[in-house]
Amino acid sequence: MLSVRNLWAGYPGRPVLRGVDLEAGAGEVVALAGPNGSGKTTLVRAATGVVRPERGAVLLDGDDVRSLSTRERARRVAVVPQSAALPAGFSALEQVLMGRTPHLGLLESEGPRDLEVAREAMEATGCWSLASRPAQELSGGERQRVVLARALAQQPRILLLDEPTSHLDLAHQVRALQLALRLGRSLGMAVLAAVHDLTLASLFADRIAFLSEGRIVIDGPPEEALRPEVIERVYGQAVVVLRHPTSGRPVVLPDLAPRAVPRGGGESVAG
Amino acid sequence: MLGVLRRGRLNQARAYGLRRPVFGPFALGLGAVAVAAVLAMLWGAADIPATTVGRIVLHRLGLPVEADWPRSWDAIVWEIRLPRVVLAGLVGATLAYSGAVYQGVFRNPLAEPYLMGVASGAGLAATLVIIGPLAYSFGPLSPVPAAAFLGAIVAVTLTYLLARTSRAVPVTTLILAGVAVGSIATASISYLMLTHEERALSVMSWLLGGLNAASWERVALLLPYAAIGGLALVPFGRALNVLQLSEEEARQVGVNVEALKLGLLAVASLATAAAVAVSGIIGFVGLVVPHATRLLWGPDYRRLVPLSAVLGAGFLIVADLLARTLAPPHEIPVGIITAFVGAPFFLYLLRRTGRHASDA
Repeated sequence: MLSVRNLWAGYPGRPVLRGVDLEAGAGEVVALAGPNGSGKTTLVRAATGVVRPERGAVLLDGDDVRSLSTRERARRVAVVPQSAALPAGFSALEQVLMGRTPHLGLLESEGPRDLEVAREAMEATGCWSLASRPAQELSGGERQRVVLARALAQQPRILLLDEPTSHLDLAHQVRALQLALRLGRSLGMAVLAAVHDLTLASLFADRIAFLSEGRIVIDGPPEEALRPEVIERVYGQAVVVLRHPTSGRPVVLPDLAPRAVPRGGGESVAG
Repeated sequence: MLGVLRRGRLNQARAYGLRRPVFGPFALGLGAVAVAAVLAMLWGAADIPATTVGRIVLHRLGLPVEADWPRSWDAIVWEIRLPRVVLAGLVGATLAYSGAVYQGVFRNPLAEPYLMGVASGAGLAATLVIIGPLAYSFGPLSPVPAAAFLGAIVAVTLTYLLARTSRAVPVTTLILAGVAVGSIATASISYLMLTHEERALSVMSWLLGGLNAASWERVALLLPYAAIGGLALVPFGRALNVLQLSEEEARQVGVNVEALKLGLLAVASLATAAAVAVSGIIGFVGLVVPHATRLLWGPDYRRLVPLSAVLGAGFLIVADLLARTLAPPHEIPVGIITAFVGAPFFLYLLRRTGRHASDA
């Protein structure tokens, strides 16, 4: 499980996270929402040791990220980045096999066991049929599935998705999140997904945590987190919250009435 | 997780280019190197019959061949041509595999092994020795290679330290620091050449690079660096592949990026420094050969590093053969030959990459 404790982190002279507390248990899907620049990506980076915490800690299955080797960290936590690099000329299967790195010695090559794990990951994300296709020939949705399979090939306990759907069309967004949700459930991973689309977050997450100005301002099930006054405070945008007609989950729409108070750096919740 | 992989599927996956053969192309490359080497052995200013060249070599290798040739032929074949061919092969291989590694670490197809100041550092040190009082006092054991080697190491280390921030060495900063260090060294060389006109030609001919000073001593100087460097770098092919993700992603899949970068650059730079020390600054080999290899056999560094080495050896042997036979009795510096072959090829690559970029 992932647990973030009073985390302060950021870049020299610019603290982005100012005391974040957040937990994601095994099998739990937590959506991390908040305006641009609120620190979602910084949180993902801190959880993978790319950004060093100034104060507080990120614990991966109980151990501080900083105490783990790069290799051990990559066995516990995998990331699906906003836009992943898929080096040209390597087949989709080879891309996924790169996810086996933390299970291999520095000079070791992939064996049959790694191939098996990669194939299972690609079947789980529905991209095994693309195995021999070179990266540059994959569409956006296909790339996303390959990158997700690469993350799964790491066999992590914690999966971090950094706006995994921002480049995808509606159907691919839904499929990607559905997949992440199903994988979290069936494999017992803790899933933390930074998302912009509050409606998608509502449909797929067990909990939604709002990050605003470096702090978690609310953290709870969609019904509790997606309240107009919370969203207005976080984004500076008036919204109305409706019920999804089939799932009953809350759905967020921007309210264009004159009482809307735009705020600098605010993000349209309509996504 | 999802059921067990059957043997048939495994073979099917193997067909997806996973275990790409390296031995076939490698053997092919070695064959080409052998052909180039034989040509280079037979061709030269002295007109020695091919059979005699072969018999001289066999005789020297201790086989029972009767020595019925002039003693000067023996010296030409064994002390001049053969060490020159061997040195050309070693220098070419070293520059090419180092270039492949540099391109991999910098994730930049325009990277080359002189990027961090190896060449200009070696050049400055060599210039200092050539204009100084020491250069001609050692006879055949010139202090120039040792000085050039040290100069190269100092320049690369300086570049690395300048680019270093508290936690990381960003590759873009490395490139810029390399440009800065290189500029200062190059400016110093120019100044020294202007103020020591009488030695300017010697400096120039060293800077242009060449294998005309080849000897078994120089082969012995380079061989350990070339061999150990190559043997150390080849197994890092997979790590170099993973590094082709962004550095952040490479770290997130479990690669200790900074340690890997430091190790690879250190080994490649050491080997390059040794090559420059014995042959001067031969350009374009480290840039063009890895690219040609990539065009022929793809971007997988598990193949790219060893195959670049073989291709680089062949390329420089042929370039040096041209350098000494195109305009007899003069020798063209081999760096000029590699530039004439390399620069057009480089332009072709640039235009090709440009077209790909605009397609995307």
